[in-house]
Amino acid sequence: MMDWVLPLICSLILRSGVGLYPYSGERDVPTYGDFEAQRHWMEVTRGKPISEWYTYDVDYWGIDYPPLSAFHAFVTSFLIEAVDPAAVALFESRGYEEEGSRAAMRASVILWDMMVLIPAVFWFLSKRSISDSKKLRTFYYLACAPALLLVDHGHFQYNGVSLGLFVAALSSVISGRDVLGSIFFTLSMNFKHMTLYFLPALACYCLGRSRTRGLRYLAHLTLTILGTTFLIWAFFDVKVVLSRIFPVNRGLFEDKVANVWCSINPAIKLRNIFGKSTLLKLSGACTLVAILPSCFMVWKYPRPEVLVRALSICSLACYLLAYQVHEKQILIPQVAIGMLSEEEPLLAAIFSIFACTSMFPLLKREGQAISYLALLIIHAVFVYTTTIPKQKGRSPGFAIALSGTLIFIALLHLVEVLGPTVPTLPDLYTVMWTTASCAAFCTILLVLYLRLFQAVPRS
Amino acid sequence: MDEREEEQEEEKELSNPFNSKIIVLLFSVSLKMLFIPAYRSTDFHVHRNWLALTSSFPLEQWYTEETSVWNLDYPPMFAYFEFGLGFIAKWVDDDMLILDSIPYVSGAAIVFQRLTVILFGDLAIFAAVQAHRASAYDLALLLLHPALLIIDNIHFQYNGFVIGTMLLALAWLPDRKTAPLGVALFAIAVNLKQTLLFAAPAVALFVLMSGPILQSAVSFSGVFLGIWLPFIKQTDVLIKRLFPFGRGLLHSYWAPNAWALIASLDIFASTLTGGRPSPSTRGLIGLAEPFVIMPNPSPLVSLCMTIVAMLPALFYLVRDGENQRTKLLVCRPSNQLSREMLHQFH
Repeated sequence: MMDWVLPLICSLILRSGVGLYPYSGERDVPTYGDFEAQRHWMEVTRGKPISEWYTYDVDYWGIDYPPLSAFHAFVTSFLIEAVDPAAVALFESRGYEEEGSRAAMRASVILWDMMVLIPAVFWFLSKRSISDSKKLRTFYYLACAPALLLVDHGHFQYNGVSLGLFVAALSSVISGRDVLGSIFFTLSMNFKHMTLYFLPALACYCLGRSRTRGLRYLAHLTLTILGTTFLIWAFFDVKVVLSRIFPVNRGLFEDKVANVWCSINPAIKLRNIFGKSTLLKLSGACTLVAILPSCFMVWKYPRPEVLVRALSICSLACYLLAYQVHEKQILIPQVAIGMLSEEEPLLAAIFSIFACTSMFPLLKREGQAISYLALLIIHAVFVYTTTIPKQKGRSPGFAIALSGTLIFIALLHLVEVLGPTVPTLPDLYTVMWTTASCAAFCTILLVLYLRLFQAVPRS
Repeated sequence: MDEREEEQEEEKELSNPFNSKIIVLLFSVSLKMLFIPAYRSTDFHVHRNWLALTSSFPLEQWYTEETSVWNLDYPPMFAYFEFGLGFIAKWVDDDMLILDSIPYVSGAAIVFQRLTVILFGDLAIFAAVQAHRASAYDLALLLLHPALLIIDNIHFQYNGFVIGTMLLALAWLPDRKTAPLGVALFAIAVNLKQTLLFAAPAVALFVLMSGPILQSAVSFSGVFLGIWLPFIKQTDVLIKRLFPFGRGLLHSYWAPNAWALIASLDIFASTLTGGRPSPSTRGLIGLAEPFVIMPNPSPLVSLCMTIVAMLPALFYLVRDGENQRTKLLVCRPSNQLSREMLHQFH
């Protein structure tokens, strides 16, 4: 088992460092941002009965994640209240941003990471029979990926819980305990429904397994999933919650996100041509087409290695082509590709970089440009030292590809800093970032597919 | 078997990410960048003030200017350093350079000042480690030292820069050819922060024993005089600023040195005998006589005691001579224990 002390301490230090930077909506009266949203949920879940959690004043940061997030907010509120009761007082605490409560909120993200994500990652690593250095690298991608740190500990979200539950699900599945895995995955989906991106691949994996394990296995799984879901949703009005977590009315995409629909928008304004329901069907169809081959492969070869590849492809394809995708959802493919890092180190390295650049406009707006830069330097440094020696003598491909990516990114930054501001195109550089990142993601998706077909039938 | 061995070799290299000094340096710089928004103490404003002071006033007034309470109490080389930084500061944020008793802070100023600490500190230490031909591990120990991180990158000081310069100077001392250069750099280091004077006896002794005495003496005095030349008429003002004996034996927060031990004994004794309460814990500055029961040392006495404490170390230096590390290691603790007016930083 690898030496876990230093990596753990480093992950703590990096989290604390990123947490020093501003969070989303800091001092941005009257709307604020995700930090205020999370705080508000703690306030609502403590102050209101469970029947009103999803209906109380939904216009001011109403809960738009599944019920487990609501329970999570309820539990976390006790910690915040212990530090500063005024921070979760019903209604009066809106926009509450005192030193103590802010530190407590930041600390709560770290605490949840320590309780859910980190143990799950260690559990996952214990199931992998790979070298210590590869384990260190995988630990880094799963627990300290720059994009994850910037979103969870910078922007402020609790993705670590949902992603940690997903890692736990994978750990169970790898060790053959599919039922346990399905429980964890259901929990993960019920914390943040964006992990639905993983569902097709996982479902096909289980279907593939059922070919040898029989229908009883499938029945087991279905019952477990339904049972777990029922336990969580029992207290709520399903229709209300569904309408909150799947806001179909918000359109094909919101703001600028590094996926296909937003990138082709400057050329083809799809939103002006088609109606919302048509676009929903269109994006659904495209996503389905994109993920089908990988789902088929994992159904045909239901092995963990294939599963991880399929998960990476599915999640990335969903990010690129689904409806109402947010830039922070890049964390979903990040986790899957992080698991894949032991077999595809270069892909993981480059993907992680573009995951950050795809969010750069958002990060810059929030004042996290320096933490973004610092984490990217640490990323480049870490990736070089844990991968480069392997390529020595064989091929300098890795070094060239990584340096090339970094230089390309640096050039884009230069363009943004030195380039002209065009009044008629206020989002010029934002679009530059999202389009470049989208192009990179599409390339990575294709490479992932190629590698899937290359690697799988062999064994 | 060959492939196996090859893989094991690669394993050894891979499992330790910190086997390259450049990597350690980059990691240190980026980690410290993450601390940019952290808590800043008044020392941040002190240094911003010095930027303003050196940029807005002529040389003659640098040590006599009294607009702000944070007046210049580092030697001239540091003043020149701040003056140099001032040129870049002007380009970053003009308003930084307005001398005012009210602390000025802007995002750009914070980032700029923090970055100067990071870059100058890390690069100086890196240069020193290169000169000593030390390993990446040594570099990591120095750059990522918790105390240095807290004091330089959070509280805000330039110790990394100063210590790095001195360490670099020490690297050049053993070799007769580079010794005068080392001594010159030591002169610069001491003129960056006067607290480095503790090393002066040891360095002097070392050079007397091994180095080219004449060249070293010339280079040292030359550099020293060159730095002090513009202030030749104000030496008394400077000495008073650099060695503020008026601040008393103990600072408001005690440094963990010998006087702290005596102060504790003093408090204990005064509580036992029921005499007047000891003023040393009240957080006051400027107490010339903090002790109630124990005898109060004058600055001269404290200085003598410091030199006496250093003598054993110097004796070993003369006897063993060549080993530089011994010299530094031994001198520093003995000196810190007995120096007057010691801050916790040292």
